[in-house]
Formats: sequence, C-alpha cells, structure tokens
Amino acid sequence: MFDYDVIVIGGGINGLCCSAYLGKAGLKTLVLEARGECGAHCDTSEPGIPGFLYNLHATMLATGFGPPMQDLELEKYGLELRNTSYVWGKPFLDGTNALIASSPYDTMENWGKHSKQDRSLLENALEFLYPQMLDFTDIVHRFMYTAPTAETMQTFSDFMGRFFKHLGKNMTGEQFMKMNGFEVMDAMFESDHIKTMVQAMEWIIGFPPIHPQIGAIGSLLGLLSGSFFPLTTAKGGSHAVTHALIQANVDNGVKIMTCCPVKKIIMKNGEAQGVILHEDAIYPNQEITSKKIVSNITVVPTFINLIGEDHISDKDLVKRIKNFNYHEQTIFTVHYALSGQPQWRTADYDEGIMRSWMGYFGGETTDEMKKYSQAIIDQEIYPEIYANWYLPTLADPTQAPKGGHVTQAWIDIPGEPLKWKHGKLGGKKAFLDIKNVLADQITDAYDHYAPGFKKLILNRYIYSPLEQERNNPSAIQGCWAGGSVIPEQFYDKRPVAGVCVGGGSRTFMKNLYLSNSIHPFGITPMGSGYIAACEVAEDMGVREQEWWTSKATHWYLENAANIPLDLGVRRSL
Amino acid sequence: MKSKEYDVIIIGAGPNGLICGAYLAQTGLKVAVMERRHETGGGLDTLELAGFKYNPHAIYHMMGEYMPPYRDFNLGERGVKYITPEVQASFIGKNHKPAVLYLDPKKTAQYLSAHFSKEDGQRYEKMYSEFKELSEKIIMPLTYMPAMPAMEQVPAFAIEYGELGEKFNEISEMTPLEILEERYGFSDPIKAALYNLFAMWGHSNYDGLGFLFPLIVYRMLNSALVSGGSHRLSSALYKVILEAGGDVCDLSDVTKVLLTGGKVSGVRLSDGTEVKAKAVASTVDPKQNFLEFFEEKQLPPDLVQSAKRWEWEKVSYFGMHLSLKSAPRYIGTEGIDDANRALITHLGVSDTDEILKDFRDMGGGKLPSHPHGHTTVASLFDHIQGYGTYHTARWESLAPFDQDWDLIKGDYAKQCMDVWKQYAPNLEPLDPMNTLIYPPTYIEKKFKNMVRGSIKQGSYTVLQMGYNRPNDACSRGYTPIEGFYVCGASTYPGGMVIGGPGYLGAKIIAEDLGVQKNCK
Repeated sequence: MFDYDVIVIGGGINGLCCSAYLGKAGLKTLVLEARGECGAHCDTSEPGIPGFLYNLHATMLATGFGPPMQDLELEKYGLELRNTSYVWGKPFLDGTNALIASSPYDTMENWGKHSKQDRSLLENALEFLYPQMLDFTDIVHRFMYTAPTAETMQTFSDFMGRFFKHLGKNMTGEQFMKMNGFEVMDAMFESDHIKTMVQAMEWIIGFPPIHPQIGAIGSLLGLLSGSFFPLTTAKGGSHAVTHALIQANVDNGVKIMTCCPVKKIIMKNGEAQGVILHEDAIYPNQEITSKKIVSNITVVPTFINLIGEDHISDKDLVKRIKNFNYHEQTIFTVHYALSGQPQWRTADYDEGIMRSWMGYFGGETTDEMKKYSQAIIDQEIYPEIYANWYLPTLADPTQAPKGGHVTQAWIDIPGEPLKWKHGKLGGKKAFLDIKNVLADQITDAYDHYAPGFKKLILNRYIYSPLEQERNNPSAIQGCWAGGSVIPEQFYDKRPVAGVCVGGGSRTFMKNLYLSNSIHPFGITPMGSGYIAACEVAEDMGVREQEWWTSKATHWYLENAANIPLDLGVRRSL
Repeated sequence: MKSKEYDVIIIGAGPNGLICGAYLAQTGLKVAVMERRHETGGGLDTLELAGFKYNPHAIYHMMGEYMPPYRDFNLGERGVKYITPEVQASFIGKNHKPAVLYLDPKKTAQYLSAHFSKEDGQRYEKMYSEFKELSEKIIMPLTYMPAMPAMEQVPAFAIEYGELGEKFNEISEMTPLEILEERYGFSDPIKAALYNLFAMWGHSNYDGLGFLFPLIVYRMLNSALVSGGSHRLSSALYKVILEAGGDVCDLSDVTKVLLTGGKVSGVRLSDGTEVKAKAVASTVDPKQNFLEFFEEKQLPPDLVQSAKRWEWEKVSYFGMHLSLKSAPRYIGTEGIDDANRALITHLGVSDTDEILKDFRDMGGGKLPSHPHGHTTVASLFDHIQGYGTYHTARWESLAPFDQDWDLIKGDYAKQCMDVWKQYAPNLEPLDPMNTLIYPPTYIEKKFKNMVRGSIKQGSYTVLQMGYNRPNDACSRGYTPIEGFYVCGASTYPGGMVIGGPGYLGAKIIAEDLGVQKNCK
C-alpha cells in the first residue's frame, strides 16, 4: 500500500543516522536529499588547490561519543578518527597559553602554570568523576540521546549538586542550572585565562556562555572535552563521517536519492502520508508514499513550506513556529591552504599548543567575551576578531599534500548583521560586499597570534553565512545548529512549545517526526537523529534489536587508546 | 576496508574503475576498488559550493545512455539523468554571424543555409549523415569490443561492412582537416567550427586520428550533461558496487602490486598495508602500472621500454568556474537567440590556421595569442546546478602545461574574463573576487594519473591509439603479468567518459575467474 515504511527528508548526518538505524532494523527506508551530495554540514571539499582538503562545515567531530559509532559499525565503513595530544589551545598576548589536553594530567600541568588553585580544582573534579563514570555516562546518555524529561534534568541537576559539594563550592544543582557560563567560570576558577578558554570551548560546541542553563551545561561539557567528550577529526576529513553513514545505509538496504528536493508532504486526514518531489528534482513531481516521515530540514521549512499553515489548525502554534529563531550559531569562516605549520607565539610557555589541532584567539578577558556575546545578540559584527581556529592536518596529514597544512578560522557573527565598525549593514546580503575585507581582518588577527602566518598562505577560501545558506537551505540565516540554542529553544522547549508531543522527535502531526531542530540540536554526536530513530522504531515495533544497545561514551571509553594521536605533528624548532 | 583479502582489486575509482568494479561485484566475486583520493569518481568530479555546482573535469558526456553500463545497471532509475540540449554548439566570432549547430541536423542545415550559404547547409547534411552512419555502425560498437590490430582491422572492415567499411578505411587515412576540406568542401568559419569540436579535446590534426574524427564530431553534436553534475554518475556506480557487496575504499593509495611465484597476489598501499587478491586491474597510467607498481626485473624489458616511451598530452586546460548574475548574451545574436542557448559556446573560433598555430605554440609551452574559450552555463539546461535566478558558468581553454601557473594564474584568469566579456558584454559574475581558477597544474595535482594535465591519461597518437593503447601487448586488457590487467583511459579504446576500458576489462577478468558477467 505504501511505497516505503519511512521517508527521511534531508540527508544530513542526523537524517542519515536515523535512516541507517531504521534500515538496519528492517524498515523499508528512503532518504531524499536536495543537494547532489548528502551531509551538507559534514563536507570536505577542494575549492582551492587540489590536495588541500577544506572541511567546509563540521570540522570537530564528536561522532566517537555516541551510540551510532558502535551500533552502526561506522569504523567498518571507513571512519577512522584522528586526534592530537592537545585538543584546545588559546594563546594570549601576554605570551602565555591555556590548553586542554587529551590526557587530564597534561591539562593539569598547563593549568598549574596559571593557577595552583585552578589546577587543584580540576584534579578534584576528576577525582569525583572517575569513580562515578558509569553513573555520569548514564546521565549524559539520558541527556543527549533520549527525549527531554523533567526527571533527566533533575538527575543531572542532583549530580551537579553533589559535584559542587565535593569541590567545596557553595552551590546547589538548582542554582547551577540557572547560571550562565560566565557565572559558572567565576564560581569555579580564578584564572581569567582558564575561564576565557573554557568559555570559548563551550561556545564552539554549541553552548554560548551568555545564556543561563545553556552556559552552565556547556561549561561542564567544555571542561570534559578532549578527555571524556571526544572532539576529533577523521582520516580524510569530516566527510568520512558522511561516507561511512552512506555505506552503512546502503549496506542496510536504505535507498538514497540525491538531487531530489521535496516540495510538499502529502497530507490526508490530518496525517502525513508521503511526499511530492520538487519540479527541479531528478524525478520531477514524483509522489512517494510512506507510513512514517522524518524531516531533517528543521522546523520552519518542514511545517510552513512542506506541510503548509493551512494544515495546522492551531494558529498560535503556526505563529510560534514562524517565530522560531535561527539568529545564533552563525559563523563566518576563512579556509587556508598553507605551505607550513603556523607558529604560535606562545610555544615557549607551553609547547603543547603546537600539538593542538583546535583553539581560539582573541577574547583575552571575560569582559571582552561578554561584550562579544552581546554584540552578536545586538546583530553587530564585533570590531575585534575573536576566532576559533582548526589545524586538522596536525591530527591527519592526509588533508594536505606532504609538508602542507590546511587551517580555518571562524568567527561567530550575526546572521543578519545590521552594523559593524565601518557603518551600517543591510543584513545578510551585505556579506557579498564585506566578505573580502572581513577575511583580511581575520587573516591579520591570525598572523598577529602566529607571526609569519601570512607568508604561509597558498590559497584562501571564504565561507560567509550567505554561502552557507545557499549551500544548505536548512541552514537558515547560516545557522548550523538547526535553530538557535537560546533558553526559549532549549531542551524540552526545543524547537517550539507544542511542536514535539509525546517524545523528543514525535510531532503533533501524526506520522511526522523531526530529526533536526530538536534536542539536542544538529551536530556530530547525532543525538537528534538517534532520538528520532528510537521513536520511529518504537512506534513501528522494531526498537528491540540485539545490536541497538550502545550508549554515549561506550565506544569511546573502549577505543580512545586506539585513536592515533599527533600523526601530523612536527616538532617546532 | 572491510577485508584484507579479495578476489579482485581495482586500482582507481574513476568511471572505468567503478564500471569494472560494478560488473565484477555483481558476478559474486569479492571486489574492492581502491582510490587514492578522499573522494571517488575520478574525472566525474562535481564541486557543490555555496548553492552552485561546478564540474571542473568531465562535463560533456558523449556516450551517455549509449554506454552499456547505463542499461546494465539501470542507471536511469538510480538518479542518472542525461540532459541533451537542443542547441549543441554555437560559435561566436567578431567578423561573422554566429554559427549554430543543433541536435537536429536538419535544423542545423536550415540555419547554415539561411545564415551562411545553401552549400554549407548541404555539406553539413552530407557530413552529418556519413559521420552518423560510420559512428553508429562501426565506431561506437567497436568501443565496446576488444581491440583489433590495424592489419586485421582494415581488411575485416572491408569484408564486414562493405562500402561503409571502405569509406571508413578511406577516411581513416585522411587528416581531420582534409576530411572537412576535401571530402565535404567546408571553409572557414564553418570549417573552423567543426574542426574545433575535435581540437578542443587537445587533439592534433597530424596524429593520424582521421578514424576518430567522425565519432568525435558526431558525438559532440549529441552531447549531454548529467543532471545534478557529473558526479551523479559515479555516485550511482559507487552504490551499485556497495549493494552488490563490493568495497570501495578511498584514501587507499596503491604503490605496489605484489607477485608471488610470478603471479599477482595482492597490492601494497602507501601506509604499508598489504591486501591480498587473485587479480588486480589497474585503471591508472602506464608509467605507474609498469614503472612503479613492479620492480623492473619483474617485467619483460619491452614492456618497460614501452611504458618509458609513453607520451603525455601536448596541451592541457585552463578553467574558470564561477556564478553569474544572469546568462550571457553574446555579440551578434540579435534575432538569433538560439546562439545564446548552446550547450557549448565557442569564442572567437573562426580561423583554422589560428587554431593550428595556437596548438603548435602551446605544444612548445607558449600561451596562445588569444585564449579561445569554450563556455558552458550548465544551469540553463539543468536548473538544479544554479541557484535561483543565478547561473553556474564554466570557461575552459586549451593551455600549455609548462608555465609558472602559480604565478600567472590570477592574471591569466583576468585576461580570459576580459576575452569572455568582449564576446558577452553583459557578463556579470556574482562574486568576482572568488572565481575558482583551475590551471593545468591543478589537474595534475588532483589526479596522479593525469600527468601534465593529460585528461585522457596520455596523448592520442597513432603509436598510442587503437591496438597500440597502451601498447600492442596490453590493449585488450591482458598484460604479460599473470593476474594483472589494465582497463583505464590509457587502454583501448581510450579516455573520456565512455566506459569502454572498464566494460571490456570486467569481461575478460570475469572470464578468467570463471564467472558470468551481467550485461544486456
């Protein structure tokens, strides 16, 4: 009667994760992708000089963290993670640097140079966590890979209460859950260098420090990054994740059709029953029916474009959906092909920075980071460059020809900028005019922290929010997270009150699920795709599978020691 | 890599490697295709950047649905759709009306009659009909049949194909220009236009390619784009292999083919990994095949010598890929709007002598006096390659490999853009400072087997074509090394996306390993 059991609209990695699980569980599954290639946000490409691979979107991969790594056997399909012995480096203009290492001992050694007190606190924190690892991983699994519930949040909160008690901090779990990242850092640490480094780290993983609760949870994850929460690259770049997912899908009988944008979801009796392809699709206007539909293309396009407001009786809900915010988590990136490795000016202080494949420069003080956060909310392009940087070739030399490197630097930026230091701006179309100047500024800043950087540049490729949105229509206003991570759109409120009903991905529309815009939001641990898969499988009676058992951190804790480190590192002179 | 042992390992996941791998995987053999790069497809490379699709390598598909793999793997249902534009080529000159060549030869004849001369219309009809017959009855079928030595072929043709066979033999003895001038009576600019359908591929008039000329011209008048970009084809083949239980491994750089007791036993990768196999089929070039994969002492001396003599192509390409605010409107096209809707628009190709001179200059490393770009706006025919009302555009022109391209590429791009603007004054890039510039050196950087930017893996000359490609011991896919086969662009029938070598290679490997190949 139906062409398929499940159609997944959108072949991004969360969509592919969902479809792979469902195909493996025996459901007849189809993935429809608008672009020619799946994995729009997990893409590796050569737009500059062939041989220099640019990871155009997701660069740090937390894929090793979640259940899909083991359940879907992604390693078997060619996903090989790569890392460096330091995962986060923040050089400062006073010649020091603050680092987070893969090994907590190395982290403590660096922190000890900044503050004995902070080093002790970290040591205490780990002393608390390690014996409770099973409990803690269980909490993290519940938080990231199951539908939001008050119970999960309470358990998390209670755990944090015990955590702070152990650290001798006068703070309850409830208090913690109301704080923002800046407040948590102030409560825990004394060194502003360490604070700003962790603030930057949590921001990059999707938890802007300025927001209450979000900032608090983010700071915990930020502290645990590298050691417990893996952030790696992969052999061949980020799209190794996409390729592995595609292979897993094909191996499990899933059909993937690309260049097949969906125009409409077919509605019958208030139920989603299938899709109609766009007239530009390779099979124009084709109708395909299915029992269940999972939409990976975020909440607004799903309900307003594909379903249409006429099919939604609750007009207040329509209004709330239309007001869904995509303004934050927008970035402006410059990719570079380099003839050598950048030489950070603080390598003498701690040479670990030369073995770090990710980091941040700028935002020297908490005050500056706060101003920067506010500027983005105010839709202003901040006058100073505070940037995230990546150097994946330190972990995986295959991403550039021998001796060469690839790097990127990106700044958080308003998706619709209204002003910058040179005057007013007319929103995102301004990027076409200003992107070259902005790229120059980023280049100058990089050179300031790594003198000689400019001389290494063989090619640069600019990726503004305009490019991002054109590349992926779901990245509305260039938002990479499927919607802003702000308090009104966080956890059980995500994406919009009234959309997800009876689960994390089940929507108010019968047979329709979301795998994007929902908790825990896009990105590479693939929590959203996993949650959607679980709920569709439950509803179809196929959730109980002997292979569908992995939990967050299981694969990583077993395999971390096997991940090659520092394959591309060359000792600096 | 799912295993360390296979029945067949195929080196290179370009179109030939993927086609060979697909046929063999479907026979039930345990197959792995090993690709050096991080991405498969070889020349079937499509960049999707910021909403636009660019095809820096293969773009004009001359065999399209004719190719047996298309039917054998149901590619039409696997997302491979060919778009064959009604207007195949237009030629814009500063001193003459545009020449327009249609998919329908009668329309072309009518056009040439109306805008050039009645005789040109008649010449064209005659030429087209002869080229079509020669191609469809002889040359195209031969593309998917094993190579035959010329000494056998000539008389065999005369017998099998009768008058047509004699015609073919006659034409094969002529140069392309002789064919156009003497057989059909064309003169410039139409002669230059038709000649350029052949010359744009980097072929020389003097390399004995008369036999290929009718095919190239005929197919360049029936050329297609792959909807969504060339990579849709390799992506479909990739999935055929996976579904049949085969393995496609990227970042797997084969550096050695291993022999045990004089017979192939596997390969070694650049990271030292060794993988066993009963048979190895290579789709890369003869120099890697016979000078790198084996020790010299393992090979017969004349095989080594033949590989050392292998000639790369004399000229390569300079490319520019960009987005445009609107489709170009060319000079002289008032009232001739079809000239603006051609799959390929050739700029300033009006004088055969100039084409020949430029080719000679480029062979000597000199830049042509006036770059003659052939341009394509793919989104005019395939909306999904552009973005909204913006278009994706491509310039390509022949260029010498031996220039300091890193130094000059920016300036040369400006020069080419200026030339383009002379022919299309309304040309307006959407993002002028960020055009993707692709000099010949980039082709070599991307594809190890396209040395000196040789997009066909080696020159098309009499000594390296037909039964001699790559040499007379290996042109049927077998090599003197037991268990080692060759089936890439440097093997008969040659390069471009025709699938011939991969198709033929799969057949003989399947036979040797005692399995049935699926084909319709």
